[in-house]
Amino acid sequence: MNAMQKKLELIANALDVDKDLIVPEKVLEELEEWDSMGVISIISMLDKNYKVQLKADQIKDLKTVSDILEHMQER
Amino acid sequence: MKQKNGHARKLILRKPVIVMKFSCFLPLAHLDNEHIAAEYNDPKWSESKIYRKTGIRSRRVVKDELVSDLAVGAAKRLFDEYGIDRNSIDFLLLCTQSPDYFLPTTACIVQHSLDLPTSTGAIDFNLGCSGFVYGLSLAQGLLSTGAASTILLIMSETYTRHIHPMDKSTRTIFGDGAAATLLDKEDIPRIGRFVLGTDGSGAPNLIVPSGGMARPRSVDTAKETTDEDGNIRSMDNIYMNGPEIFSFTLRAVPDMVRRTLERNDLSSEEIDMYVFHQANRFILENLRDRLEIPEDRFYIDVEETGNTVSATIPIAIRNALDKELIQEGSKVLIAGFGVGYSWGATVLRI
Repeated sequence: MNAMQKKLELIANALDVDKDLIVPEKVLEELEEWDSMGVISIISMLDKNYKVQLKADQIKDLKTVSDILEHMQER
Repeated sequence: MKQKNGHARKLILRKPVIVMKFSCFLPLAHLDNEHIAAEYNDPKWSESKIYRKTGIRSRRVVKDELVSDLAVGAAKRLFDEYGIDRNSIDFLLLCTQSPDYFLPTTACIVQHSLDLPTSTGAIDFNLGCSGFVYGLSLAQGLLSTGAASTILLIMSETYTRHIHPMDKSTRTIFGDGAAATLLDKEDIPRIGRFVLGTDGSGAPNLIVPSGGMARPRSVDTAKETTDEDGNIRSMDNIYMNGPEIFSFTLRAVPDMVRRTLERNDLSSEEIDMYVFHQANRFILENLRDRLEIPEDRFYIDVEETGNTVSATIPIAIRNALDKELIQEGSKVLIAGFGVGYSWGATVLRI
């Protein structure tokens, strides 16, 4: 599994959705699971795996899967 | 040097073994996940899913009881359980965000209900999840200056009165409850150094928008709206931006805990138990992982009471004492964080 696949799977697991649904261009609003609990799960995943803590405006700016991927940078 | 140590130990042994005193009082009515799930009839909010996401199975909720009733219940239990003479109390500190009235002060009502001497000082202070830590800092100050000699510190909260029944984001989390603590001069050395913090820019993220002078209640503020997650509330109800509150917690708490250890000259391993504000299991587990605290030294106890706001820390300490997970002399790091934003932490020698 390459790095990108691994990241997409982390997102799918956090949102508790089928991993086929998670592609970079996917609009998050289209996912039923993208509710406040879903957002919280993504914040948790980013904190745990990438030590990133999103601020309020960064949370609002999450529109597509690739917006989440931008925060998933290995340090 | 050896002799000196031996002497000190003898002195300590002669002192009676007394742990810090905590008593709790919860309203009788239960609100369990089964009941909530049946009302919502939404597969995303099934009984098991609510439990899995929050770690909460049931909450205790008020029907007609007021914050003063819960406060009196907790204080009376404290007097009974520890054989305390109410005439010894000369200061009452009460923390709440759901007071009986704008005025008078709820602590004054409680003074009368408890038949405390009229020579008792009494004040309310308005804080949420950080309230217990702030209460201890105030108590330590009052005791140290001699302004008070025996303080009754009460956390009493009925957030469910602020909650719209169809707002899943808050109804699944919060419960009502009260806790009472007694603090006298003997307790000053048991309370460590504090790390406190405030960031009022977070005010809009956990708020009851109407009812104060900024926006008095009216027909308009009572109008219900449905948000994108299907939660219904009006401006008279509590609003919580869950993702932002969660993110704030991850930003603020780990740093506060590290600074609290530093300020108290303690290493993480020297803490016998970490008792954080019991927000919900999900937040607590995230913080525990982040701080790399072993499970057996990190107390989580939300299953039967939910998040009782300022009362969670003293309720959790009392439960941990009853379960003998902590005992006299245990070093307990407590940390409160939430509405305001406001946060605070210290170390207690129970």
